Amino acid sequence: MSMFKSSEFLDEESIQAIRLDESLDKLIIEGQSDIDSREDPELSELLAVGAVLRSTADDVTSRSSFKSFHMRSRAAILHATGTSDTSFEHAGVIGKLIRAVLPMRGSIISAVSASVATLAVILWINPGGSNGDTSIPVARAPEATASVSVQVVPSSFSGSTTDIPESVIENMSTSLVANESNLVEETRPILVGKESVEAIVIGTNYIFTSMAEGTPISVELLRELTDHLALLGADLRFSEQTSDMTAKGIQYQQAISAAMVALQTIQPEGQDSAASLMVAQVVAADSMHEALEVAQVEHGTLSAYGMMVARLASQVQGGSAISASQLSELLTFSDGISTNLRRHSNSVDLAIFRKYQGDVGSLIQTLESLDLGDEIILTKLKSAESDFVFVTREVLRAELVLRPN
Amino acid sequence: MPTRKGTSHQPDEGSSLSQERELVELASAGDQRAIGALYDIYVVPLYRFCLSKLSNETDAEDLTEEIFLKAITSIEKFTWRDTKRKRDDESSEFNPFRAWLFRIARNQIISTYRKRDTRNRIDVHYEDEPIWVADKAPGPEELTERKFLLEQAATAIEQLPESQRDVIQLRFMGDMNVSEVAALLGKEPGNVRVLQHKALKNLRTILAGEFDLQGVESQR
Repeated sequence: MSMFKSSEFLDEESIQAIRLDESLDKLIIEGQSDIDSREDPELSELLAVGAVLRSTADDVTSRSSFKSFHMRSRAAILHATGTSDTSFEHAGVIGKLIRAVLPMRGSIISAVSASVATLAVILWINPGGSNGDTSIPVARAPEATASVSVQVVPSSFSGSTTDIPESVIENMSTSLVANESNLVEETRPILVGKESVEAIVIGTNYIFTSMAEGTPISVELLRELTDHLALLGADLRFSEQTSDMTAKGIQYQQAISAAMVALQTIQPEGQDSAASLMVAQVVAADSMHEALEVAQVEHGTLSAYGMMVARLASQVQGGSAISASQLSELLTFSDGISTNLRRHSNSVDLAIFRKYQGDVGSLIQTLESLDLGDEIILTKLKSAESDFVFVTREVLRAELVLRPN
Repeated sequence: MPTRKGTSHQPDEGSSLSQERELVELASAGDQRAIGALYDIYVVPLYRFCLSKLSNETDAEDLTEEIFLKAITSIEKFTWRDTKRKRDDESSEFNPFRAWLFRIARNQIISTYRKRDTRNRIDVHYEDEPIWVADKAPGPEELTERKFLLEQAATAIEQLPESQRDVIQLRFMGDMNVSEVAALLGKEPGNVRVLQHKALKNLRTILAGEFDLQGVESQR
């Protein structure tokens, strides 16, 4: 309803103020204004100022860091306000899968974890799938076991990445299979993140299986997985420091690293899917950062990092477009591992140092082959170079100690 | 839930107001989904408002979470009153929950100012530093040019008299309509509109040297 019916009682400034407010409402709600600058240049200019403010406000919350904060804080708030209500954890797509396997939960999740490692390797080597059928036994929810036909071709990796499949197979099979097969047993005493760890393992397996079958991943599943990933990060961030924090950190690293790998295999279909995938990846990286704060870096985490580095190298070699967010995420992950290694340098195995040295070296090599214009990425690259120097020094030091005179 | 076009965070007025009322009632009864849905509606305006007041992303994140948690833990004290009240304003409907939430936000921010002042005696607006501190891990969209624009706009808002600054921050960052701003600040909607008008005129003068406002307008 127009405000002008009472304008006869108002002074000129009030009338202008009302007109401006009505136009601003239209601008805010509809994203556009119907004011012609030739008819009312004064009002038009003020609306332009309003548009700058509006755009400023929108920019602030369109960043990926804000989306990540939104998910993390949402999980933290639900965690803080929740009682024993598990509707949040078990409500959606993953929840249905979990409910379907409830009676045989332990064995299913162990089997699922084992198949995750196998599928991860196959999908990683051959993200698009092609010729050459190999039947891979896969435990799938809701069925206890099933078999899917996965197409495998010889590795598309070449040059500096020829050793990747071997290391991937070795590391994924030792970390994901060995460690995650115990997830259910190990998480039993830890109530807070147990549901989310299970949901992430199930969701991760579902992604690998779906990708192998060429089935698209729904936005709902991605969002649900994101919630659970955020919940783990929030749990570590807001929990009181207790004696089980290290155990949590290790278990969460295992679940998150598998999810990070799974997310990388997804080919998003449409804008919604791409946006949800990006948020899931950012949240996973954030939660991993929290997990690396409380526990020494896990073999599975290093394997996931190595696979992401290898994938980047493969993409660069194949001429694929690389997004700044992908680089930023990987460099942040790298920084988190490096910080962790520095913190635990006295207790870290030489093998872990060597693994990280190889991967961070490969990352630097790959990035140096790109024409990087982004200052933030360049700064992070410098930091990675410094990490390489650090880890090389640690490797040399350890080798000197080990070397017999 | 239908959302306000352009912002996608404030529900459409009218029918969505009753939906929001239902969410508030469910949240009050401890419904986790309703709490999550309310947070999804308000995280954006709350965060923007906190950032415009605190000038630091980490502090704004912490405070956003604190404010919402405080609101949810005391939500049983809130009563949805006067939904149909439009004060002297017929152009926009009054959302009592938003007004209540932002009252908590203002109080929390004032409390934060006091704590900072007591602890460090530091000017909360960091006069010598950029108004918005960069992300720890910024995304690709955060280009230098955009950062410059954000900082300039925030600097310009800081130069406004307090009463005008409050109106602009609540209206543009907090996604509030004039009725809600008026209720929160204890002013009449007419006064708020006049303050808004004066503020935008002042901002036009301040920003004129920084932006081609005509260019901005033509992009709308």
